[in-house]
Amino acid sequence: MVVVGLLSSLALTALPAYRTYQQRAYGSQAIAIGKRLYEAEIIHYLENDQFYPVDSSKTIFIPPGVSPTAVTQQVLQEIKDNLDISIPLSRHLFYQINTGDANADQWCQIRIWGPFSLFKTGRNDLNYSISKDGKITVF
Amino acid sequence: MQCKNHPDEPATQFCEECRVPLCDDCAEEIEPGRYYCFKCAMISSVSAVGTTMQDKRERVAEEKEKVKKRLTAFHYFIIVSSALILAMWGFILFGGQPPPEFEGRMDIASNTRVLLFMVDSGIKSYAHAEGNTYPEKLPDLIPKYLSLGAGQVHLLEVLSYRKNPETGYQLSLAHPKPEEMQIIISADGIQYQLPSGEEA
Repeated sequence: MVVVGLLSSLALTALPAYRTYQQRAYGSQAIAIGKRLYEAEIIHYLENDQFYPVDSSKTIFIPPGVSPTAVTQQVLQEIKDNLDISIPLSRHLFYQINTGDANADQWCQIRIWGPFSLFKTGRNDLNYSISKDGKITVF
Repeated sequence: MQCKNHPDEPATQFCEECRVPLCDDCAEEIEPGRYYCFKCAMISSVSAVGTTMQDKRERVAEEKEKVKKRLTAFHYFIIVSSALILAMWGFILFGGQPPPEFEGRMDIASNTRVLLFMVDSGIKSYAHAEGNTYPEKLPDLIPKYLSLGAGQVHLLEVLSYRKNPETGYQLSLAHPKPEEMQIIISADGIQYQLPSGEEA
């Protein structure tokens, strides 16, 4: 009973610390991959006059998972072929890329999010909006 | 004076305890120069043994106490490892770096397109987690699938959402500006409609 009590109290006190570690790990990963993605998108635009995916009706959606499905593997390979970056499949992070040319304004939107808060503020997502003139806005 | 036990023998000593006269045969010399009768000598002997045993017991108990109080290498090991565990625990709880700062500086309300795609990704993660089902209404996404605070739920009012048996769902701006291209998102993909209603 004493051992169980001690272990429970240790686990309880460690829970907030574990959350902080999780936030730190996945928040940093989201920021790092987000930066690599928007830089790759800008390079793609400079080379092709279009953001990736070129077909703006298509959404690039990468769900988290330990082992990627065939669809996810194909999406990751397409990103590697077109943006020349490898996105490590995360255990918890989702990735989404959308492009558009609505209103004669080409844009690209990258969103990375997780099922728990990733940042100090409690936000669980990171949104980058890139305009054709290379302006990056973080929402 | 005659011996108490042998009336025909003259007494040579007196018992130190009971003071009875004793002959040479009856006087018991328990220590040099000290004489007791047989009975008193026996009582004295038993009492002395009892005292010795008690002393011995007390001494053993004292030794045990001393051994108990003495810190062995094992005790030092336990104390040092406990201190180390506590120090590590303290570092885990209070010593780590804080989570990263959120980089975003723009308010999501300032860009409905970003909000639209943000909600779309929330719907997609909802479908991913809930086995390809879609939420009945957009507020169902908060907070697990959509990071909006309590004061930001009203932002969802600018969006139009409905479940669609064919395409899964349909999401768009509820009141697009007249000159703006309408973006309609479904599970199948994204459609762009010109303000005139034509597909782009």
